[in-house]
Amino acid sequence: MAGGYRALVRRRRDGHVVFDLDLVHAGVVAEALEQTRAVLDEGATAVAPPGPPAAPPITLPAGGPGTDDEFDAIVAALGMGPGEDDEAGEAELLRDDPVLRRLLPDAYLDDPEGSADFRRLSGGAVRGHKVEAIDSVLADLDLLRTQDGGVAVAPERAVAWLTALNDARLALGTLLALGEDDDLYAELDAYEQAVEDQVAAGGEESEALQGEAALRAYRIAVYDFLSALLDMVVRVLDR
Amino acid sequence: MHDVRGSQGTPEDPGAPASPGTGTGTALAERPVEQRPGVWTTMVWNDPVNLMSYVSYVFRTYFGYSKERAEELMMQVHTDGRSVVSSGSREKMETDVTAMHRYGLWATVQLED
Repeated sequence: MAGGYRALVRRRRDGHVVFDLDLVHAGVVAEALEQTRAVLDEGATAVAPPGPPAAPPITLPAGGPGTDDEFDAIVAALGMGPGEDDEAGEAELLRDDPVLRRLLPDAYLDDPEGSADFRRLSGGAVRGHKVEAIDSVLADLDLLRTQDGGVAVAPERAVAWLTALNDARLALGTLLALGEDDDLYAELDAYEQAVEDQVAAGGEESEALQGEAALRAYRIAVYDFLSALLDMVVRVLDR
Repeated sequence: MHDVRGSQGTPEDPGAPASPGTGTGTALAERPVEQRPGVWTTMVWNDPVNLMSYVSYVFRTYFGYSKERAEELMMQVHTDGRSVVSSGSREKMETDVTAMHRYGLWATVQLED
């Protein structure tokens, strides 16, 4: 499957970059971008494996129903506490969410305080820039899906595709716990072979090939596609 | 601008008037004195995700490096695990690191070894 994609990105004579994805691929890219955006927006691991989120327990205070304390407790349990908690909340999210930490990394090694200062001053701009780029590409994809022959994007706007696609790859790479020497193609091939073998043997897909394994295989396939697409954008913009 | 931690300089007198002619900005001379001498650097670290073509493109586009220099730095990141891609004042390095983070590269600010 690697390297099997036809040229989906090309440069028009007037300099515009034409993205010509079919509906399935456009949908795959849009989904990956929306999930990355959700992580940036809420700091929640929206691209985490499906399943019910661990909701914080709502405990009612002893003061009885109808008190302000009760309201506060519910609001706090819903994660909508007062603004002054935002900073501590963000630090906690960063600690707990490897995807968010990769998208908004520490600027200083071995200096949490320096990194926190830096994040306070620059983190919002970095996050805003990433969200803006994702929204720009999502708008391009919306247009692409309503017309034939792809969507033509001005060069300045096409640059957003670079960071947006790369951020989606960073998010997926983090979720896949990608290592330097991991052979994702071999892993995906082995998974596909196992599914084929099972179907050929007339059996239903075993549990081992569903759930987490299927999700991982899907993420690898999406990651591979985003990598190929990003490489095409780089090469086209580079000329 | 955030103040420089680890400083042993005299704390600024909060009542002191702003230096003349600088408006609301803080003049360089008024900032706490950075005691540790040296040059600050922007270091880009290897990660298993970023594409070589992309990293090289970022170095050329943002820093204005030649194709050869950008490739050389990219290969250094790839093989040595890290590379110093710029150096200068701490503020400038924080600007560069912010830009690298926008591009999704893993970069840090540090004093030169």
